[in-house]
Amino acid sequence: MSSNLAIAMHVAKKELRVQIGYRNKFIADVLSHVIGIVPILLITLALSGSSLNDIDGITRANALFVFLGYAAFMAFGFGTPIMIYTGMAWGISEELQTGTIERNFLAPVSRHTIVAGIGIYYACLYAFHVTTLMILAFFLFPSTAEIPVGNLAVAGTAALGLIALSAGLGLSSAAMFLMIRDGSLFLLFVHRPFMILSGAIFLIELLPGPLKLIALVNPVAYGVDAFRWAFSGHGTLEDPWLEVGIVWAGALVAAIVGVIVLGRVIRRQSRTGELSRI
Amino acid sequence: MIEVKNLRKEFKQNRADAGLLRMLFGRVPSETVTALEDVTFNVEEGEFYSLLGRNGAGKTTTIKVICTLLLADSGTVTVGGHDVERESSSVRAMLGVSIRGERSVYWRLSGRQNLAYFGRLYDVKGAALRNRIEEIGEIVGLSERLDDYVERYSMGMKQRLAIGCALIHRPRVLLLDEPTIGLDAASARDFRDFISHELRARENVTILYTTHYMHEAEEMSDRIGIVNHGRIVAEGTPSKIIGMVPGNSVVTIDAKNAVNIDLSTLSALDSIERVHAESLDSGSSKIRIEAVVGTEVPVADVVHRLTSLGAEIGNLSVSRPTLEDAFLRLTAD
Repeated sequence: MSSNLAIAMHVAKKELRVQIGYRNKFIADVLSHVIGIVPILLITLALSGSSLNDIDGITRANALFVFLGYAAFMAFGFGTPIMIYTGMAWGISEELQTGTIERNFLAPVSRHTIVAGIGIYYACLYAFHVTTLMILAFFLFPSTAEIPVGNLAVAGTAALGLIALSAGLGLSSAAMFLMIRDGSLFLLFVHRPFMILSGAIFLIELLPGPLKLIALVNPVAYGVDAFRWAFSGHGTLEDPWLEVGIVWAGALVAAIVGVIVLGRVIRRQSRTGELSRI
Repeated sequence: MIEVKNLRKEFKQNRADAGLLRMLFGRVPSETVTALEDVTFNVEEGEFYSLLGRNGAGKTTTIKVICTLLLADSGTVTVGGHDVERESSSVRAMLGVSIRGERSVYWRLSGRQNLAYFGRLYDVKGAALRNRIEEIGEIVGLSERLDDYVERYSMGMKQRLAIGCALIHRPRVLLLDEPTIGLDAASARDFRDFISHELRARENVTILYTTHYMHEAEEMSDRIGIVNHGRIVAEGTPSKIIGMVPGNSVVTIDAKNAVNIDLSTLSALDSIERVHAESLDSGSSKIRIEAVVGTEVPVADVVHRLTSLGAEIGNLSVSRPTLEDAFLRLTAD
């Protein structure tokens, strides 16, 4: 029997084919992050009273600071349907509506693998978004300063940690979609707080007390901060490597919780009949 | 090949008649519905077995338990000796399943991509997969359309593709849940021909088929199980099922000069249960002769007696009870 990874990659490839089949949606998914950065840039520039052509060093640094946060956060940010952890859930939701999830679950492979395969597609989309945003950042905010290898290592491990964390959360969100068949509550009470309290858009230092406390237990915030530090030299929370550790610890917890929750939901729905009620 | 013993399944269903506020903030009242009361049957290797029942009788629930999508409350199901709950992966590898056929394939992929995708999930790959896709295309009659997007297929073609996907890994058992629903009469006929001739002849699979169309079950099945309120109420070959209910062979004759004939001469014949005659305005008579259950009216003897008594035989028709008659009697509440 093929390995779970091979099967998951196969599912991801199918997901890509299906998404390309919805051409307009696919184009929107691929480009939405670029559109999403525009208001961030405009707000940053407006606040500093400058334009891109004549920004001084401090404003450029500020803009880069915000931009990098956005880049790190992209998977959790504005393009809701294209992010990993909601994406995985959306994938499940779409398959529930079309009726194909049932057919997939009839195959002699782990049902987690099927869900994870859908997540891999969205993970690749996330990686593409972050990469293109980084390239864009270097064009918009050219810097002559050399970035130390250690900083690149922090950025890389933080980005990978965010992907892993997203995948873990993705399993939980997929379970939630399977369970309640509706993404609106999830988006409102889980996704939005994660986004707002990550420091990507609103700096954690500027948040009011209770929200700041909540933000500090959000592992995403540390990934964003570490990523930002790697390229701008400015961080506001902890030591960057400690932050990377927190992100990976969060990813591990999220993966364990995700696997357990998804397994329980599938099992429960096999009993109630929800798994195959379309 | 498939053994189902004392299967029971209940569902809790939320009631739709709760007040708005209660639906929003309270606990929505639910009721327990028994989908399967006590289902027991076996399907032998190579057999075509149909589960026949009304809507909601428990056919699809039974199929879903067998194919591991649903866990039963009690009872056991084995496929090829593997328990569906404890060895679900082995069971799934043996099964080809088509539930809600046309909705179980990806419409935004081509037929070939669908077959390749599902084939790979069953560990069929490389040249074996490519060859099998061509073979399946031929079996399900889609060779010319395999590279078209599925959304351009007719419903019948989608159904056939779904069965193709179910067959891609050469399953030993095929579960087909009401595959002809929504097909027009001609497509349904083509589909039955395909199942009976192409599929059974070429693939030699055991087939468990659910339907509520009597003629389908009668035409294709080796054996039929009639499901009613979550129980198998009758099981056997189509002719055995027909013979289970007090329906019988009936001969109706239009005859002239039969008004004064003593009908007891017909009643005295072997196998005759009842004879009834009525006079028609035209002056002739309509004679209805019913046979004893499980026997046939001896038409030649009847005609001989009537003509020897001076009657002139006009129209003569013979009717036999159908599976539908038997089904309606067996599932009557």
